Amino acid sequence: MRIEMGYKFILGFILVIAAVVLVPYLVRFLDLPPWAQSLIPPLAAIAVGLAMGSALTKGLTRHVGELRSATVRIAEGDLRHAVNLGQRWFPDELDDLAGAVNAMLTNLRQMVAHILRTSTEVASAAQNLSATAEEVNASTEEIAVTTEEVARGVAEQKGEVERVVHRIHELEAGLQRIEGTCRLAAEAATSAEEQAQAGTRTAREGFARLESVLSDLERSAEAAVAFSEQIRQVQRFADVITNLSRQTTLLALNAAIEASKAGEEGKGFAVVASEIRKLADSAEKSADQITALLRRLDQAGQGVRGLLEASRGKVAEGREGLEAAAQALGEITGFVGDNARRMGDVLAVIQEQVEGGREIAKFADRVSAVAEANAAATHEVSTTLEHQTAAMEDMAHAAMRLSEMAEDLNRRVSRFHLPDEAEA
Amino acid sequence: MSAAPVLVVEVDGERFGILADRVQTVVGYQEPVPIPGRPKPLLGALNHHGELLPVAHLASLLGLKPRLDPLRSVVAVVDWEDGLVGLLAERAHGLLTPLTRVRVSQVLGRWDGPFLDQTLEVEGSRVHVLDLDAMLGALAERIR
Repeated sequence: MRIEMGYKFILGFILVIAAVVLVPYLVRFLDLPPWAQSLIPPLAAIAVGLAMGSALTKGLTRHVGELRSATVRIAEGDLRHAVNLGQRWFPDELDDLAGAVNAMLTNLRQMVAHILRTSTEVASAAQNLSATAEEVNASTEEIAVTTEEVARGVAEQKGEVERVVHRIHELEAGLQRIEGTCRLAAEAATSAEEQAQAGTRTAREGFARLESVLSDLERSAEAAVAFSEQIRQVQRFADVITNLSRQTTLLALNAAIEASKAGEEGKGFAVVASEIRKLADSAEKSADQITALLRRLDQAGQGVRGLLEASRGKVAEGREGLEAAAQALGEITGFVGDNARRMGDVLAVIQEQVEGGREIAKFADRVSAVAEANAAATHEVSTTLEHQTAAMEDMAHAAMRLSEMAEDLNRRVSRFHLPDEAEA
Repeated sequence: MSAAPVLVVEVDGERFGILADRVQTVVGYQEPVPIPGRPKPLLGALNHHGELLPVAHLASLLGLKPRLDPLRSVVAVVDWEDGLVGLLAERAHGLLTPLTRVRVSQVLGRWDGPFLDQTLEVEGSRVHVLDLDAMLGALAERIR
């Protein structure tokens, strides 16, 4: 049954009061002298008071001492023993205090054990962290070295990329110039094709006219042959006239000679002979002129005939040449047309290449920008790595400090002695 | 100055005159039949109205370059001694008589060529009148 300590003192006080009240009453039933009757009640009250006080004080002192010993052990770090007040009939606040101390002890055991485990783990982790930090620091330094190499490589790459971009822009400009030249060439080829077609039409018309001229030339040759034959016929007539004129001249001359021989009688005849001779001379001169003219005509006709005869062979050769020229013109026109189409194809390809070059230039610009960004990022990475190295050094130092603190904590906590179960 | 008419012929670009009295006729050129062993001036012989007519080249007789134009050359048949002789000239220019309008300017005297009787100047052209007897006599001497 629980009775609180205050009630226990009140109960003792009541017992003392009861002794004071009851003992005189009881003493009266005794045949004691009056002095005894007067002395016994106070003594009985005092005895009750002493007994109650002794009993309460003894229990209180023993239990408080037990509690004090327990707290001293706890203060000294001995957490192995719990407070045991024993089986009491009337537990009070001391039992509560002992229970609280035991609860505190249990908590302290758990806390110390936890601190011990945690500090050990923290020390181990701090050591691991320190080692890891050192490893990370070493790795970071290697990364920094590598990053510097990468930065140099990136810088060189940036320079190379800029040169490549410059070359690509030059190539793009060159492609654009080639495109312009090809466009002009394609236009020229197209114009040449049109001109070749027009030339072929004109040449075919010319060939037709030339064929007509060749036919006319053949007819002219035949006409020249006929004309030459006619000239020869006229020449024969002229020769007859010339012969007649010469004979007439000779007759007139002979007549004049005979007239001169006849003297005065022949004068009239001589005049007639002279006139006849003049006529004959005139006729002969005319015949001579006709003959000379016919000879020239004949020579010219023979020349023309010779030329025409010679031209007949050339006409045949000319026809073959015309056919060959027409065929060659057709082939040339086809060739020029093929060339124009090929130039168109080449222009299309060049335009695609120019477009591709433009895309490549844009891509190269982007690559250059990326390379520049890479260079900046690499620089930032290098700076970050420097910062990281410093931070890792700080962290390693902090880990070392933490390990030392954990060890110190462990050392400080190690003075608490725990039961085996708690340590386990 | 001689007023006798002459037959004017042309030889090697020069004009020569033959007295018309000595000319029987003038015929056109016919190729003479060659006579074996003949001297150079004698070309051959022609059939002249059934008679054998010896033909001499006037240019050869005068020492000039002989030329032949079959269409214009003539043979002047002249009297010589008892026969006829043909003289081949390049062409005949006509009969030069006082009846013609030709003006005989003057007698220029003997020419330095052979067989020339006299030289006349007719309208700027010179006509050398031949001495037929001397010329044909020299030919006869060469034939003999």
